Amino acid sequence: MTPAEMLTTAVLLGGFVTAAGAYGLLYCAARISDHQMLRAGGYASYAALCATAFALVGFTPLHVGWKVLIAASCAIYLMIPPMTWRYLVRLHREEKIQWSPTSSAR
Amino acid sequence: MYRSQRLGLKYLTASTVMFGAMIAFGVLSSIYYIWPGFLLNVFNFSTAKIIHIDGLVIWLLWGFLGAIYWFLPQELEREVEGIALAEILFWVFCAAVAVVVLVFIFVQYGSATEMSMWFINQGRKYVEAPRWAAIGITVVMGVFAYNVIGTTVKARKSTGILTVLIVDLVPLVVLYIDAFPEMRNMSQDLFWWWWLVHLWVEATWEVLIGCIMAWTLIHLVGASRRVVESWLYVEVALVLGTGILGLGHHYFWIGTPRYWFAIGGFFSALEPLPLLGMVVHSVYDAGSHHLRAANRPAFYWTLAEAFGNFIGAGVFGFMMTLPQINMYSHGTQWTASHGHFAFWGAYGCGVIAVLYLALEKSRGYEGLGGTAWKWSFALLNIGMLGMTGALLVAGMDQAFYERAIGGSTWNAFLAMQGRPWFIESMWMRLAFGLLFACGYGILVYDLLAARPREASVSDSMAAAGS
Repeated sequence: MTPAEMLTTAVLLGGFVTAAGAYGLLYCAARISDHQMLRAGGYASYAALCATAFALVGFTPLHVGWKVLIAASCAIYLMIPPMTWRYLVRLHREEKIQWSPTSSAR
Repeated sequence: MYRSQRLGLKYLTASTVMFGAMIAFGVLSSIYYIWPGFLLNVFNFSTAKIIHIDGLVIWLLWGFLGAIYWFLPQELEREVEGIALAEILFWVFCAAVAVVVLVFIFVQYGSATEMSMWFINQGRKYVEAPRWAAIGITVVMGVFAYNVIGTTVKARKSTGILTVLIVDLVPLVVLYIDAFPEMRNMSQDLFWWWWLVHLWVEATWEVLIGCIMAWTLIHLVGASRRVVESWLYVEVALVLGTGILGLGHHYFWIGTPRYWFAIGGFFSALEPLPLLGMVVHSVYDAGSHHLRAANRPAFYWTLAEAFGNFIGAGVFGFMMTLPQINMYSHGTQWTASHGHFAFWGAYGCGVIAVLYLALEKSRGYEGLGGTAWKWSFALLNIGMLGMTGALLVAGMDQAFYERAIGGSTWNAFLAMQGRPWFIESMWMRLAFGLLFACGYGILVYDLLAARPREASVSDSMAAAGS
């Protein structure tokens, strides 16, 4: 790993998790407000996450094991926000809380 | 108000004071990077840094103790068992911390003898307090454990949050005993030392703040206990599942076997996953309350906790956690940027949320008003973002030139100190540190002068809607 590759890889790793966070945030915000722009932002963030994962797997000198882990994480990150959301909605529904997110029925 | 809650307020007050001391010594430490001869032969850099870091541990620990002494009697609807002893130990703890700080300031260091270890500095990073004080901290934590467990036993009832807390108290106390062994083998010493440092911070403290935030949500937004407890179990399982063996990322370069590369890297890479779940949860809660709560400062600091934890621990941590990157980044300002942001997000914001919650309840207010809290919220968070950003740039510069190109030689280290990016980053860190200190000043002012909030129609509607 050259010094330049080290920095590039680190920045990509940071970008990878940042994109995951942006996806989670915008996904939830879109489900609360039902706003098209937020939903598009969520998809764009996940696309950025995939692009970052692709760059990490394809163009960095990380060992194969870490590349597999990054590819797997990319798939897991896709599922975390919807799964967490469904879990939270179910928990709150069982508690008969009045407020209902617009998307809870979808 | 229970006696325990009054004790909780004392701990929270002491925590706020120690937060200020930590900031003061942090700003002082940052000055040495710009003027290396600053206070030469008067007050050395390493002592300023010791007080800054130990101050961090103590202000958060006092904040946790204060929060639990505040919530515990409400949870069990009775006074805390052994409260008189806890009250005495609070003053003993404060006096001991004051003596340790004075010794650090005026004595600073001693020769490599038993006497220095017992009365000046134990010589182990993060737990430098001399041996007598370390024994005192163990006694205080033991009495704290007795307060919690004894009260639960006497009350003949428990709750999910309390059960998690009690289970967590065992490693919290036992792991601190790791501060004591004297090992001559550096690898062995660091191996066990990390059990204390990492497993306190990324395991037992995570569970502790999880319990505190669960109580905070119940009292702040009236969250359902069942919902909060269910979520607490899930998060604790995920955090512990990734955090305990995430310990391995500290074992990369201390002389441990090679398999720690795989274990440490793998579990550290999983650590952002539960943090993303927390972000989703916080957005859900924020949405369900339309970003409104009677105690807005506490509500916003609670939200800041989830996001700060994700960015500081998740993003900043993941950047440098894989062994191939960590080989160059560990021990640079890059690590410092991760440490600052992670502590702030995971714990600092949570303790401030509890401060505002306890303030509101202790004064009998229905919500908190004013604008000062917004300024302190903005300045503290912008200050932290600026500091960590500056440290990140400096750290990357170090990893690139000093480590990767320079080969980690003494020469490369010295050359690094004169590099423009490094110097400019140190200036930026100082500037944002001062901004952070201003935020702290406004926070203290707001805590002293806080007044009740005048409820608006929209708030009433939001409250009814939630």
